[in-house]
Amino acid sequence: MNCKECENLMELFIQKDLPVKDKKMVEEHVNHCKTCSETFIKTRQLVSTLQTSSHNITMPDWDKSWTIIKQNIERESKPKRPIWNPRYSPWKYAVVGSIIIFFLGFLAGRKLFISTPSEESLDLKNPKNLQYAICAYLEDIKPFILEYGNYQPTQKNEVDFSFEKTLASKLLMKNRVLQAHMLLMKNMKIQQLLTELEIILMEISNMDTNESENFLFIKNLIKMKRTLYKIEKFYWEQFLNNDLSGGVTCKSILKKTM
Amino acid sequence: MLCWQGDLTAFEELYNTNRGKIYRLAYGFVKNTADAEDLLQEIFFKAFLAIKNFKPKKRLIFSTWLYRIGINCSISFLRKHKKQKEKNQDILQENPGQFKAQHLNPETALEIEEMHLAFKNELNTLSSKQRTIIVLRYYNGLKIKEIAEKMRCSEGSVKKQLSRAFSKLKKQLNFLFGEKQ
Repeated sequence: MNCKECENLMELFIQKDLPVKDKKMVEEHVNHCKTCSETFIKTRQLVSTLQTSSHNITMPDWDKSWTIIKQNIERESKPKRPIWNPRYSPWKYAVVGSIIIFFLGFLAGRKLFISTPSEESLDLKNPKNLQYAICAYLEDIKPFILEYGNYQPTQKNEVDFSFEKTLASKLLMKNRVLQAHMLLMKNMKIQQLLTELEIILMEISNMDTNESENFLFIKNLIKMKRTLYKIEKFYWEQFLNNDLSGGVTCKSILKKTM
Repeated sequence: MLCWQGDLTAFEELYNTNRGKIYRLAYGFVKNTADAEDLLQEIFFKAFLAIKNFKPKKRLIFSTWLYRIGINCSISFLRKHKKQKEKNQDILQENPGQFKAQHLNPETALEIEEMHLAFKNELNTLSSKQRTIIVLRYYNGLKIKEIAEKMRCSEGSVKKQLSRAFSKLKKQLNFLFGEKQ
């Protein structure tokens, strides 16, 4: 046995982990070799150091450690809740609630932001809008006035009298609304025309019977006041003063050409 | 058997029978009480999670399996806390009274204490395999055959690594031993 082999077996020898045969060999070698006997002493010291250091371990609080382990295990073994679970009731409520909120929001938004255009909402305070409204009104009333202005006594049986009457009362209502707006505008010409039309319409709506005398009276009234002529005139004025583009009107073009 | 079904009381019994060994193993690696306790908890926690995969065989009994988990955990723990450990060693050096050599005359006691401190530093220089062998042999008091079983290697290689570790330690502690002689 050489020194290297002996050194390798020293630890096992000290720890009594060698078979008898090897034990004897190591013993013999150490007794005869000076270097190996020194190494043997060092090894024994090292072994004793290791043993003492391992004997001096202070043991921990076992129960405390166990409770911590238990807590960790319990935390880990809890079933993880899936993100979407229809059986889990709060989700149901959340979904139903969000649908209701969405629906209400949709309705409110529609009411607030999408307004349907209607005749009522047309702003008559704007003079341009008012002019258009008057033109439309005259457009409506023109055939009516024409019919009465050109009345012939033979015609009377063909006219549906009750229908004429309701139409006249409707036109009268419109007339009053327009007049109220015209008062603010202080345009006396149109104001006068509207009052004349009002009188004619009142006469028509107040007629009791469909006798030819009443019709002739209205015909005379229209002729006397020159209502048709005034309507036509108003139309032409509107047309001539109509702003085509950038201050160019029909009137200015006519002036240039003439 | 109940442990496989996740029974905690059965696992507690296993904890009670093996806690001492595992704590010694952990302490042998980390060399301080607080870390050893943490490591003990981690090892048992991992063991509980992995117990479904444990299948007892002729050669593999529960304690051996647990030792393997313990060794792996300890080595990875050391790797993680390498930097922190250096600081801890400084603290330990400031408190050398932890290892008191009892029943010895004051001079020898002082020498042994000094050796302990130097020895702690030197253990860190060993490879993880050599360190595991030293820990299992001296902190758990296992025989070569048992160590080989726990480390899944042959007895010959354990002996070889052990003698290498010893020669390394002897070389590094030569100065201290020289003084003693």
